[in-house]
Amino acid sequence: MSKNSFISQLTSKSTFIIGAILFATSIYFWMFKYPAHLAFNEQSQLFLVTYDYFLQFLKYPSGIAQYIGEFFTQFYYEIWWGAAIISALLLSIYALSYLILSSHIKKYTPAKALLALIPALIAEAFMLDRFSLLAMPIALTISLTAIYTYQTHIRKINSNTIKHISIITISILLYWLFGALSFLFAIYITLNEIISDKKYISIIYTPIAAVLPIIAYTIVPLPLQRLYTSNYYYKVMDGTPTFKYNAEEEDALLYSYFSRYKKWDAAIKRANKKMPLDMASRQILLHALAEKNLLLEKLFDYPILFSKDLISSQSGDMIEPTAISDIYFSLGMINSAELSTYNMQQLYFGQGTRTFQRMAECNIIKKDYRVAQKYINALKQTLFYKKWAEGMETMMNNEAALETHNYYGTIRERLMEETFYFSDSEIDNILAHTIKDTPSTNINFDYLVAYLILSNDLDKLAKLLEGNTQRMPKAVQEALVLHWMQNNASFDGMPWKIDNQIMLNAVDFLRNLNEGGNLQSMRAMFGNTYWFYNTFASHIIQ
Amino acid sequence: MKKYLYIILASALVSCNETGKHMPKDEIPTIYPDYVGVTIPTTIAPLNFSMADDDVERMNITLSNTRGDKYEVSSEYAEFNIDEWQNLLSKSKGDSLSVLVKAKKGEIWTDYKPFYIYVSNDTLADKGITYRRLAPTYNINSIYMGLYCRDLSSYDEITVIDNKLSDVMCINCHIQNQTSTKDMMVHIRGNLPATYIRHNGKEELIDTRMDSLMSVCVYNAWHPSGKFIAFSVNGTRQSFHVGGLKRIEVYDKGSDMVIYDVENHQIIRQPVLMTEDCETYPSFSPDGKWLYYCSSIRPDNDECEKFKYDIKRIAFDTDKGEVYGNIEMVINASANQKNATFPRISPNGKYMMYSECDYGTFPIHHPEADLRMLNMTTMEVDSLSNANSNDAESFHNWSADSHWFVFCSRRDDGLHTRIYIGHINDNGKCDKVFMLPQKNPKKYYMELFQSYNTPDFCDELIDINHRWLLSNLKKGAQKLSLK
Repeated sequence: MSKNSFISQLTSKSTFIIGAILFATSIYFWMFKYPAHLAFNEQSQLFLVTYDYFLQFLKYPSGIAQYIGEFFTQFYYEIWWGAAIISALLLSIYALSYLILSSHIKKYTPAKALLALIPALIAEAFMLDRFSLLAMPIALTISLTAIYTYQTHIRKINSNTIKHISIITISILLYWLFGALSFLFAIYITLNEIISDKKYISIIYTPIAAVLPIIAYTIVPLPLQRLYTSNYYYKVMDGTPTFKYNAEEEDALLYSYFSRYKKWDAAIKRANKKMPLDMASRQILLHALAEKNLLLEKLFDYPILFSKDLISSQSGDMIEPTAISDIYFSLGMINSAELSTYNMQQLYFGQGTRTFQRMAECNIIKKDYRVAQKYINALKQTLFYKKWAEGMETMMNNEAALETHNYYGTIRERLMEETFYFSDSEIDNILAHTIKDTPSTNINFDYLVAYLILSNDLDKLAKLLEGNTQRMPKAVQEALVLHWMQNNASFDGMPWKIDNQIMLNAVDFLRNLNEGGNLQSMRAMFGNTYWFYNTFASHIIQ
Repeated sequence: MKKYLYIILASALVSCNETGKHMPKDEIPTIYPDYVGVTIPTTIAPLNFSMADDDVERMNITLSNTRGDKYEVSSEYAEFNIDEWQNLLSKSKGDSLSVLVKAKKGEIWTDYKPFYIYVSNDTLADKGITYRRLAPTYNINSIYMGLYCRDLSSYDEITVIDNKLSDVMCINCHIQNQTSTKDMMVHIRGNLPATYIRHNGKEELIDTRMDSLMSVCVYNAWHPSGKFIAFSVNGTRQSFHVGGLKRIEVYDKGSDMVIYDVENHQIIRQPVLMTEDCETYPSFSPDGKWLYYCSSIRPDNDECEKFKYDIKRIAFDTDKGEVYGNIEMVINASANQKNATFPRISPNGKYMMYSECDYGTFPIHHPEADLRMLNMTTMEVDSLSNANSNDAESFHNWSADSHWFVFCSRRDDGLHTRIYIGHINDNGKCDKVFMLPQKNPKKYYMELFQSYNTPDFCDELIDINHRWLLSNLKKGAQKLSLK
């Protein structure tokens, strides 16, 4: 194919329009509909700019696809770069598919352009899974490039021997460097030469390609199945990509993103539009409220169902176990934050930037500087976290700077130094031990109060707030009023400062309830109160 | 002749490299790992090292013995050629190596006082060590873990099994029979659970899951005859410290011991090993006539801090595979509010090494955990000050000749466990231990985010056929009978 023909193929009106639509919709989709998936991928890898790091990818088939994939994935640090990278790859796949198809169907038709879209759409669908790696579209692009090169150059080689050797060598190299998608190269040539050129000897290419994983199996300690499906296209070893858009998962990952970057307003704003469904996201929402000093004021503005929505030993669904690590870290429960980080590292993330940052932070707060230095050193070898790591290293060598640091100084103040064991049934006791006589632990106090309220442990709450004559947030007042009403005939002598309106509402609630108010009617009138939570939460769960 | 030429050339090169100002310093260099004054076997891989100071750009090192043999290198760190190193070591047996270090920082060369490395007369016949490497917590099965075998005379490492082989495969306790790889076993947990047994070179997979036992078989010890393995069965629990220095506690809510008859595929239970107390960490005497183990009363509410293990022993019938007679106290640690675990008796029967800490089943998570060595003749306990540190030491095992021991310590950074090798000299004293050598140890250990554990010597390098293992794991392991 001449250069002019190449350009004219790609710039024909319909091809160009379809390509432009593909690129634009892809950019839009990844930037605005699926950005948290990009962030998840970025934070769950640690691409080191070192020669040793590169070498380890040469040891396994498809390693280079993974290496290039990781290289580009680090740029997801900026969401729009991630969207641009994936979209550019999809566009390349489309263009290459179109060019290859053009060697068989000469006419320029919109149908041909649409047919050429299929590989790009498959790659796009593959990338919808949060464990899918960029290695796959990269391997596909390279394999299609090899096929196109065959059409333009290799096919025209006159010497059969040189041609055979070239095709077999390329097949071997493609397999080792880019994995199982390289089979497309051998399969295409076999079919093309048999159907178009009637060269039946070409049938050998496919079995040769098919036997490559078996040869690899004798070299590397990987199961044969994984060598046929490629080790590095998908993060979960024995998992299968879903090829599905998952809005719920995106939502959960988005809350995790907010938590990581402390975008508390954004988390609250999103919850105001649509209540998060999974426990981890609800934990992040309540964490956001606490950070904004709104936890006890707005605790029942959202349909919270459990005290576990506030804090627990781990996230319920493991979509994003980072949430709980962020909460523990904020509360100064550094050992627990570190343990959660280990868990997420072991479960899904492996060595990722987010886990490494957190491990460095935890060990700096605890003054385990020898351990912290290991994580700092690794992050110093990355492109986007180098500056952060150097800053942390400087601070690590300057205790005064750390103590007075706006954020880390506060966490250091909250650091829990007492030794006792974590237990889901002792969370109130644990939280009580995190409270120190400093304003920095106000958030810990709020967590304890919220936990007691959500656990309906009103006796402990009343005891905790004994002698408190300040105006307290709405949820606390509601809980205290109910506690008082359960034990007294009138409001006379109530020791806390309760808003008149809250007392009136409480009476109103009881009257409506006694008059047979059902769940729906009571929710309409009192859905954002502690009284409704106390009375109906268990019904809602059932 | 050729070799001398190299030496002359190397010396010339070293001299040429030392341009700049020289500052003699009346102290020995601070190096990483700390190999100053350690005792090593002649077969060990080169003890490469770096200056602790990261800003040092170049080092010139001269190794020499008292006979005048010399070996010089010049590099960014002390990186010795394996052949040259082992040639020098073979000529230095029973001698000391003087290590003269000159380190360049900026334009200044600092000439340090020499330090010494002692080359023992005691040969380490075992060719390698086996160990696990995994994340330094045990909350969940680690995605990145494996069992490896390291050639001690080089830096080569064989992957015996790792969990790239299958999803979430946990490779658990493993052990050779007094370093002999003819008898060895490895527990494999996860989706395809089994215990791999190699007995007299024959491999098989067994399934130790039984309704009448508290758990699958866990901690283990080969009987020297190879006919039996003593196993503990443990109701293992984990607790996590919210604050403070310690991170995690691993302990047993209950534990018993059983004997596995390797040839008859039978689990032998005896009431004396399955009492209300917790029995665990079995170990046989080298003659096979005694079964040593740890025992603690089970405290109320299973309070972890109240588990205080003593080391006891009971006579073992080597024909029947059964214990008999009275239980004897060996180390009464609980009487001193201490905890003694992991007894390991030297193959010559002279010593018993064990871990001592304040409480619990897993000393490696306790900074106060130290190794202790009981002289089996005098019954005196040696505190092994040359082996212990302010951080945790545990998971020790003996070499076949009883002069060397391998163990884990967290002294490197306080969290990640590293392997150390120690020497017991003819006086029964421990010489200074050394960290497992690596090609570039400073870089290697700094970049390693995993911990080593359960190291053990092996007389031959171990390899397991992965294809055989995976296909047999999928077929299912052999069920056992119960006695």
